[in-house]
Amino acid sequence: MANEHDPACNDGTDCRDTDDSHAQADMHDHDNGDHDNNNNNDNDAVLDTTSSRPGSPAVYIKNLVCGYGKNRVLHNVDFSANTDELTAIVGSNGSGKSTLLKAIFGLCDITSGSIMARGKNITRVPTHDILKHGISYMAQRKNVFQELTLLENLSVVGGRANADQAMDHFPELKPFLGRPARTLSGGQRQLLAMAMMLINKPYVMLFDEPTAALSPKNADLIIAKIRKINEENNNCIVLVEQNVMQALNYCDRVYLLASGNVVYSGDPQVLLEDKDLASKYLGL
Amino acid sequence: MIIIYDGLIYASVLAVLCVGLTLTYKITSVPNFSHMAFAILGMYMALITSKVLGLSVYAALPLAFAASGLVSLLFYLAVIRILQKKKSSVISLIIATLAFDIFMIGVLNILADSIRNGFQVLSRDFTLRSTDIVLADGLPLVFVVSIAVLVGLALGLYYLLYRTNYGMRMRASIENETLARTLGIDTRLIFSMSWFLSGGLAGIAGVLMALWFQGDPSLAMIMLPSIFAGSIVGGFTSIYGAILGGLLVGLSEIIGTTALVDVFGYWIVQYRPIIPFIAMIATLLVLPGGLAQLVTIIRQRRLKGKNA
Repeated sequence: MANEHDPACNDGTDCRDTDDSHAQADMHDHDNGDHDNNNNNDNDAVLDTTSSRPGSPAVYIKNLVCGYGKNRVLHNVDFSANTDELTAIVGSNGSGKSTLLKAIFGLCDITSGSIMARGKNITRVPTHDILKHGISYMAQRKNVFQELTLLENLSVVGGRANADQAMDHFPELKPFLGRPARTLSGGQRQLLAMAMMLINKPYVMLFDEPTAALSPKNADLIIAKIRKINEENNNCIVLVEQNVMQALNYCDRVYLLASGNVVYSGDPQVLLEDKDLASKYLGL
Repeated sequence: MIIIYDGLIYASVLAVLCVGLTLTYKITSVPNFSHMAFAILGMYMALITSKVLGLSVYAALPLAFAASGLVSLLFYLAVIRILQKKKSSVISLIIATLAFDIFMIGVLNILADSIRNGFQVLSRDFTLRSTDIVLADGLPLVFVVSIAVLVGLALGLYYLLYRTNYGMRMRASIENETLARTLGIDTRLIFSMSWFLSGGLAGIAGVLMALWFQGDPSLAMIMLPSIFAGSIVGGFTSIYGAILGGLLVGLSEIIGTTALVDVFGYWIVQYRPIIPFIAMIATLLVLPGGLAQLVTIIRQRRLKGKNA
């Protein structure tokens, strides 16, 4: 948020106060992205989830500076998410969590930095081509086409045959296939959006607050689905989550953002035990 | 009899133009004030085909579709898309389309003069009515073709939008461009195609107009109120609204003018554009969403009636 923001931080480079410096060191301890990244020449088949070794970075972001127009949201962010893992991004409102996901999909203005996906540079790839690199994205709101029927929503992504196949994983939706998506409940709509994401068998799935505005019961259902997808496909899942406690319980790795900087990355349990960080940024 | 021909040919052509105008507005949110210029280009394609190349005017239909479609596509790619990328306001976009209309009128004037000087062909206030084929009982072919084009367009667009994958992607892109892009739909291609289609349809409308009415570059401004009136009466968001709006405004223009001439004398013809203006103002005051809104209201009432 702007009022929390130190004016000296505007250039994005010398932003880190002393509090953040140990977090930076921490981040490098847990970050094994650098050397694996150069070793990905064998990953030419684009929509193949099996060719990435577990534990290797599926998405790797370096020195990312981005925002909307002249307004910079992220300052020099490093980020990596591994295959087979569930990575959560937490932080307060306006800390740049959603912007980080949007940057991967080219939905905000990137000033500098690079975004790699399985060794390929996708920093300036047009939004509609990102999916071809095996990455799918679920927006927080407006993530289904309201006026199209469920079947049309699924077909628009992957054609009719794949739409039928996707339905096998979401039997809850089968009775409503012919109805316009606007008639669905909030939870059903999120399920549909997930089904649409899964159609192309992505190896990276980005979720922007999938449980926002859902009842606790529906939220649990969605999270259970996401974990099941992760287990079955061994793919890389990145999740922006407002409900910190919940996220820390099930994720394999966590990034904590504050005012557009990474202040912690690594094991969620370590973050919980770090009284300093937990009280300052998570209100725990 | 002549008033029926006048009315229905004009109304059908107007409806085709309204569909094109509505299409680009709905898909790319640009009220295109140069839409009529694409039709006049079609008119001159008809003149060239008939008087210069000596072919049947109907051979100009594919030619006009391609020529006007390409000009429309180029205008979109070279001007509109760049402005939209810079997040220009609707007002800037409107001014850009108006400027392009003025530019096109200039180009069409040059074209008209070149045709006259180069081939000694009357190229202003010209009509190709005498070259049309007359069917039994003095029925002109253009009358049948105009209505057939409109019906074909209505059915064709329905098929395209609701029965093909491409149409599904089009509807998806109209509703939520960002979502469409994240799901791998190349919305740039869809938007470009809609401008090509819209311009091409205007070209066809121009050929049909030249077969019955008088063609002149000045029509690019003169007919503009009518196509906007038709689109606004239709709701400006609905293809079928545009068809009905165009038919309604077209028929009331022809019948209204004839009736006014009977009462006031021939001088009143000068004031013909007042009819589309009244239609536009009345719609915006009484039913801003046009016929499309009317349909929604009736549907909701019916649903309530069923539930009660």
